Amino acid sequence: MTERYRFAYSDGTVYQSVVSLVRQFRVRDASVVIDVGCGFGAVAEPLRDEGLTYIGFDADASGLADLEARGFEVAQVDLLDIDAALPTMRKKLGSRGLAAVMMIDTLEHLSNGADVLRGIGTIAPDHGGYPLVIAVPNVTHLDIGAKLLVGRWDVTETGILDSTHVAFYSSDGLRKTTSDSGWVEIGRNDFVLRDSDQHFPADAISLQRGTPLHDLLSSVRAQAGEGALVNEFVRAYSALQRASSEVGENTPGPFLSVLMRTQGKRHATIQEALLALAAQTSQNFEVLILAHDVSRDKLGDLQYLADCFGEDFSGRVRVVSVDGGGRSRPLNVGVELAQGQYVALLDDDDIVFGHWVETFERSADRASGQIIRCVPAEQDVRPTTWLGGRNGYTTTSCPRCPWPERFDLLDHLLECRTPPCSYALPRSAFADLGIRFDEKLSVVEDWDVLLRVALMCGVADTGEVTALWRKWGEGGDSSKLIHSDAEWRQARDAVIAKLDSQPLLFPARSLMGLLQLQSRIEALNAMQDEDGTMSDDWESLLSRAALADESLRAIEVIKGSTSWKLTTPIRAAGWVRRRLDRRG
Amino acid sequence: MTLEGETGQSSRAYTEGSEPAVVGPLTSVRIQTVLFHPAEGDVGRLVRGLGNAVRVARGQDRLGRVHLAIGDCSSVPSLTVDSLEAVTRSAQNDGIDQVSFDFFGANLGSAGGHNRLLVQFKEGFVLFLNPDAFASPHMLLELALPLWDERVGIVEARQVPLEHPKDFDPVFGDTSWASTAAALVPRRVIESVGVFDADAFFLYCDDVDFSWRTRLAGFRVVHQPTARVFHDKRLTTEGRMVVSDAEVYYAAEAAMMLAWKYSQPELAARLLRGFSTSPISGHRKAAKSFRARMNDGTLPTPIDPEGRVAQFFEDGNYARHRFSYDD
Repeated sequence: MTERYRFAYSDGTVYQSVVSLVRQFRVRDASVVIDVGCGFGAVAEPLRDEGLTYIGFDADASGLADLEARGFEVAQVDLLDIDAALPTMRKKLGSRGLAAVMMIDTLEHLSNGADVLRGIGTIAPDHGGYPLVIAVPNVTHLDIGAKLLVGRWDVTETGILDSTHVAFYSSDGLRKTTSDSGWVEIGRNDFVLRDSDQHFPADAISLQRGTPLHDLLSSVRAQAGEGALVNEFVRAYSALQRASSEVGENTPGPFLSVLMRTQGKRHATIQEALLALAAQTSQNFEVLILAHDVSRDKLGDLQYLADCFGEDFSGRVRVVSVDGGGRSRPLNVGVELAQGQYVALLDDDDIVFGHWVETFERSADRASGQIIRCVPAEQDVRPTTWLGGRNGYTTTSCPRCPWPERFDLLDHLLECRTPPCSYALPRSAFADLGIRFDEKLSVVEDWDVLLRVALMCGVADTGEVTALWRKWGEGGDSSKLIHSDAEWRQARDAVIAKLDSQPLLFPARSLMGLLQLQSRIEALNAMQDEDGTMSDDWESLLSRAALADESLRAIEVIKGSTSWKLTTPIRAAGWVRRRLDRRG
Repeated sequence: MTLEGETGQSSRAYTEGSEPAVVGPLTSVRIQTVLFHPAEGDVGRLVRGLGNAVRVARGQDRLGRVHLAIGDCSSVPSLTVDSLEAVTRSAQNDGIDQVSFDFFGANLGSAGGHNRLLVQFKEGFVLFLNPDAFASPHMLLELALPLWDERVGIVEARQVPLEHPKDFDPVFGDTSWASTAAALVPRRVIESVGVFDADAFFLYCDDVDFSWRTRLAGFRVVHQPTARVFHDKRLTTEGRMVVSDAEVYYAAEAAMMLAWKYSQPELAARLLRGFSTSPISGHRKAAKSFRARMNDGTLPTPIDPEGRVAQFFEDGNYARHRFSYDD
């Protein structure tokens, strides 16, 4: 142990966070606090001031000698040989009650961390109930990621990337390691540093707040999950009950998780939705029926409908009761439970063709990670009463495909042009990027997620019609009919405002679309006289309109040419400008 | 057309909010399907769906013995010994008592295939089912419901995801004709009406003809919307049904044949002229074939001269449609 690890206790440090958790979770009628991998024991004095007996264990003699000189009990142990270390620790503790165990900045130095954590659970089996407080650096701090993206990996003497670290922890990694070792988290007091010790060099653009690059990385990292600005995870665990093993974590899930929202009111259509799923040519999927505010009786009905199919299908259907919240709540519950590589939304009044799953699956093979989008179709229906007084519906139109065959992000920013049953979203967008359905939205929650995922993941079109979106006529209860126009406008504005508040990633060749819009605007502006009225010079109007069309056609040609791809934006922008200037 | 009159006589039993108090069980059912180079997985799916339907009906004590008869018009057998064994095992696990497989060694068409299978028909009911269909768990139970009325000759299931646009009486279900993509027929109807006219109708309209003959014999043809069957149809990106060249040919041939058989010689002639000059080669080929049969004198003998049951609409449909897939 070198002097570089001699740190003093003070407020606003990771040590204060540790002491705070020990104070909160310590066993009240016990007095000994063990510090495993104690180093120079920065927390020894403040804990003694709490009336606790501090014992430090470490392999390095210099830290132990220092602690001993300050009047604390110590013992030398080699944690890399935990089987030999444990008897020493037990002996030192003796019959005294164990109030808490700490591991501060130690786990990351151990190649056998899980074994050590398991061993700590056995230090005082008779005393039981003592908490374990761990402090460990967070290698998923935004600073580390932002620097990695520009090729920087700065190993330092101390800190997050200490040159002696052999294990690196994210929040999830720490949860898994502790859970596997028999500890369950009971509290946390993470040490947050907006500028970590890795926040250098000062002029690195990816680290500078206010630059689009940093702000984009920051928003992605913040949404992706906890720990963006955590310098060290400081968490308390209990071994009182063994953490439940994580079901299926290592077993591959199905290709697709189908999230089917229902309020249990559409008995006729949900039977058909399930029938169409059971008839899919690919059965590589699971179904989560998300019963939203549904009574117990109706839950039973839903389970019955699923159980009527054979075990090969019903075994992949889960009926999940979801209480409270708006339209987004069940979907968020669904994405938490989903095990599939992709997630698709299928409301209880939609229906799919036999190759819905197969088409998603086949396309995902060549465009993994992207949204897979099919050509949406819609059909008019209206409620009716069937023989025997049963609630049914009748189809009143032929199917139509009014939406674009190919996904265009700019078009979709104007309005949603893809109903939810016609695309599958990569689950990673939810699991890794932390995207969720906005529970503040009463409508267009699917459009919001589609846009946010499309901006991050892109969209692959399949060109196949695989789903029918039911458009309810008079007497139906679809969201289109239930919610007011004002509500729709308000939700739309909220979605756009949210997107507009952060930097966005547009896919390659989006510039062409923007130039296209710009050229239309310029052509329209040019049609106006100085006083703002439209010119009556029809020849001029027509020639300008033709110019706009010509430029659009040229852009389309350029977009279709792969040999132009690299320099397309520059050349096309110049071309459009020059043509307009000449006409000007 | 006497649809209204026929359904009106049945109103006593189907009252709003109730179902017939007694529905006789399906004592024994023969389920027939005819394969023609089925897509991979079709037969397995068909059997899974039927298994569900049989299990649910048995669970309610509404179903007797079930025999699944598979006919095969393909050029080589669609089922190997192993796959037939797997299909049989799967069927029997769900309560289907018997599975038989007949490789015809020739393409008899849908009507001819069903007729060949009907030679062995001994059960109380026959269910015609397309090989690309997947029965809903309640399909058999629901198809049985209208059979309380002994005048019901055919009960047709509702196809999803693409519902057939044929109109039907919203209260009683009566309709012009029933698609044998999924339709249940009591034995007495086959005994009275006979089998499909495979000589006139190879692939299409065999069911229209069978339905109209059934109605001519005094039976009702009923559409049962709660009897669901998934029929694996697809749409083009224009929202149209995907049809093969063969389907174009046989549909044209059947249209002329149906007009002729139901005593509409002028319509048949008009269709013949139209198909003869159509830009679609399948149409021209069908016209040529029809003309040849006309010359040979092998067209069917016309029936229903008064037009009691046959319906021919200007849009080429054999029933009033609520909408068209060609819109």
